[in-house]
Amino acid sequence: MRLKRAYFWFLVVALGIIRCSIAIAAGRSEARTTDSTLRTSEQMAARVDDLIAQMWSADKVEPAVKSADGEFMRRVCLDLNGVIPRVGDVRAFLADDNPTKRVQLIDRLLNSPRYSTHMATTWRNRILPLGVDAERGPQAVALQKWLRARFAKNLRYDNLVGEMLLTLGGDELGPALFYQANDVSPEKLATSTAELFLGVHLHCAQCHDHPTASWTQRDFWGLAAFFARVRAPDDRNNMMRMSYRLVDTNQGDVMLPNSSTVVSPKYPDGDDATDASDRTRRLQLALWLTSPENKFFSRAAVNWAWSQLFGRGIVESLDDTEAVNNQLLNELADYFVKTDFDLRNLWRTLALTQAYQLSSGGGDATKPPQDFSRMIARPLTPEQLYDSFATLAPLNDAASQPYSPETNGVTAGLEESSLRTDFIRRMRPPPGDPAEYREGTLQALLLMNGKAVADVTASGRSSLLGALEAPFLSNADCVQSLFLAAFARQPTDDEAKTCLAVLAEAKTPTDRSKALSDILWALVNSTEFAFNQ
Amino acid sequence: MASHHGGIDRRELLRNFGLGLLGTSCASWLPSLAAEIAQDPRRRRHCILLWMSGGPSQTDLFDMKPGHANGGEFKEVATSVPGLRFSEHLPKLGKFGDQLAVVRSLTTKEGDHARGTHLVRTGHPPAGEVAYPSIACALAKELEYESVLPNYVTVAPPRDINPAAFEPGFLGARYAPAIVAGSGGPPAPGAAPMALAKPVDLKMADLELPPDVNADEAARRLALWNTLERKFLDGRHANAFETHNALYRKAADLMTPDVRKAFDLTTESDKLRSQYGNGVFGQGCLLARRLVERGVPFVEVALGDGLGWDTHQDNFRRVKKLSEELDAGWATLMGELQERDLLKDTTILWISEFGRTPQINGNAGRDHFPAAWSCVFAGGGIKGGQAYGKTSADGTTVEEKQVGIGDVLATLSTALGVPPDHENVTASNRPIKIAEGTPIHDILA
Repeated sequence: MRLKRAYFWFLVVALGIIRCSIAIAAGRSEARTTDSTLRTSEQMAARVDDLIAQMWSADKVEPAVKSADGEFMRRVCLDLNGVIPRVGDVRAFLADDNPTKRVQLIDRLLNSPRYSTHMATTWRNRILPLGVDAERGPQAVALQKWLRARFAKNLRYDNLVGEMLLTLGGDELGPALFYQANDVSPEKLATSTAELFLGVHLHCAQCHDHPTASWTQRDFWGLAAFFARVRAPDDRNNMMRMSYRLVDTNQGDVMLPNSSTVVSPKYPDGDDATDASDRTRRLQLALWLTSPENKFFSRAAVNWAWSQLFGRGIVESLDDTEAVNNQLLNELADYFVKTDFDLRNLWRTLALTQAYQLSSGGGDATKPPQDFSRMIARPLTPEQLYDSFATLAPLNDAASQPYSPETNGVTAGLEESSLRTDFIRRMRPPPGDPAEYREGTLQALLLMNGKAVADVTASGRSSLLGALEAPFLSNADCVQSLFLAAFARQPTDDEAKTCLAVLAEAKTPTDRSKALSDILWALVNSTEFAFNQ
Repeated sequence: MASHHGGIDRRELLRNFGLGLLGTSCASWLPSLAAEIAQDPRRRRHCILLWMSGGPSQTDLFDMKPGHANGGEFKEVATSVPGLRFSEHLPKLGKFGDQLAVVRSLTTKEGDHARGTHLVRTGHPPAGEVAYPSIACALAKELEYESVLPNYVTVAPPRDINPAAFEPGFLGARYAPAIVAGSGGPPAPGAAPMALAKPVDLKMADLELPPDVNADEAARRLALWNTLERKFLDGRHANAFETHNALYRKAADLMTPDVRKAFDLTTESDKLRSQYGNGVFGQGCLLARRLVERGVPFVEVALGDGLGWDTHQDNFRRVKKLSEELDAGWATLMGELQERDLLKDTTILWISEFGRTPQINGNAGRDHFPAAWSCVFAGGGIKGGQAYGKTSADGTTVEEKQVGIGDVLATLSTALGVPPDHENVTASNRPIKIAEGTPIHDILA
């Protein structure tokens, strides 16, 4: 049954209110500097470092040294922009003796169009389960564009989530894929919502209560009930179309499994919600979910952002309220709320910490570092890997050029570069610990012999190698350039010696080109290249 | 805890751990890992999936209706097993009747190629929250053991019909198949593959060097790579780094002449090659035998380029040609596996996305039909020499022992020694069974 027209208009108005608050937030940020109780991101970063230093001294942990400039640059470029830095930028950064150059770099990356592209990619992969891209390519691209536009204008995080949860689909291409990919099923939507936006695994309570778990079956089905009245009009056309439509109805309930007990909507860890004539169930959920008082929401966002930069979350499970790192998490979550859910400011704060800028080397790397006392190396994602190849040497598809001013990795239509899509699909690792290397031999073969790496490393085709043919460049210059391009660092003396020996064997210009190609191939296929350290 | 989150089971953990230790001093772990694998009763099981894209006509192959108006042009003839009768165009296969179990009572609900392909290959209709792996990826993962060869090799898969149905889904790309494509000149449009004068060659993707790199240069590259890798890894003892390095070394092993020889069909006699049929399917069956001999647990061979079996028009001429190709490849494969005593460890499933209408349409064709169709099991773990289930005299409904696709996939899994209720865990911690259905015990040995 269709929702009455009045409800529909209410939804429109409610969305309007949420959107207006963006403007209010912008106004508030002006006032922020005069609010003496609100820390700047520099001050908050210092506070984070204080809390971490307290953990180190309590646990008698020795932190690693500060990262070298090149190590830091490659890391922060991959984390905030999803690509390795260009060789020219590396040279400039290493030569720069301004003590604030790291801050300047962070700000430059956060204001780059690549920031929004990278964030949109990351969220698209979070929202869509593995494999949905393969089935719904154009819809997934639409979602990416929808997200990207919002990250580009730094839309408040609470509004971003609210807009997605309240979407009606139709002409607004993209966000309805969240509903579509979850089959518009209340159980699946509840599971995804809890994981993405509350950071908790509620679905374990789907079938029955667990004696040791904090979540009950009532919690799970109470959350699912909020999605019981949203429908995709049940015609085949709607299912197949790009402009997937959603409607809110005033009927529909969820029942406990194998029973006819209707479960009314209830906020997780909170009160029951009563149906109201002037607001739909999902609007009620969105308002509760994104409210500043909802600690689950801000804690989940901060813990996830932290895990993106540090390789693991501040706490392993947000269900665990006794976790020792809770103070750090709670202070950051409160700060995120007080800064009006400002995502860019959150990334800036985390990237400014000394903890983020520690080296990944030193210590016993077979054990995970305790208390973030050393950076954890993480394999590049398939997108980071492909876009980094394209940064080294433009590949044959302009659509995926990470730095091209026309595209910045964004295509005009809903098609993506098929080379890139195919590469990503074939490289997507199984779910698991982000610090583990989870690929197989077929992926190694794809990298050793496949088209993407061949295009980057083939003499005569690779623009990077082409640039090294210049007559005034010595062999040592070339080796240095290749290391700066691939690893954002100078070769060690030992490495340079090995590579120069290879070049010295080349008797003809053709042999020399081949030798340079071989060196680049070895660097691109190295363990160091495959990881963000 | 981490393993639960990661969708990784115990054997996998052991294997990853083993790989992570290569090149370090903790070799004492390796013997116990080897012992673990040796005790695994599934070690030597193989599966060959014969995928018939387009939907073959059961009425013209394995469930004929002689004497009925729906019966069509072909004769039904005896096989080596009294009472079990197939089409006259499958004479060679008929000799292996005692190894074959025909399921004649399969019912599904998807009559569209893309949706049906997804349903049959994953056990689930498309577009759900979970990206279900194809049954081939899921079973290959369970049957995996240490070898330089890929775990799952597929010949000419018609992936465009529904990419997700051919992929490992939530299991991740490392469980994707190694794809082999035919080369040596595609047959002219409309030419029957059997008419090819020379057998096609088959090539595995990315196993060959890029065109501008020769073997010497590849060797130089690997030597340089190895030197630089050692310098980097020296003093860094991270398991993830070791895993990466070990995988590359394993991939480099794949590129050695020995392994490439496994894919090189030119070492077989021309006579044998043409006995299999010179097309991609026949040569794919020959490759399947070579790979099974070398321990590869899962091989898939597709017949019917694109939607070859989609005979809406001109059904009888086309099905006759396809039957001949099928008969040559499949029967020769059965014979060669039997000679090598490998058939008892190799389970074969012949299946498609759906069957075809028993009724003949105005274009002498048959249309999509998921309500009552057939699939065929053979070899290891299967009680051959029988037809299971029964359709009505006109072929339009299942009259006895109806089964669903979950039952068929659970039967395959059981025949291979993999419990169908074995669970893999998705990123959001949902346990997913290999197959949801009841194994057909009557056809299991």
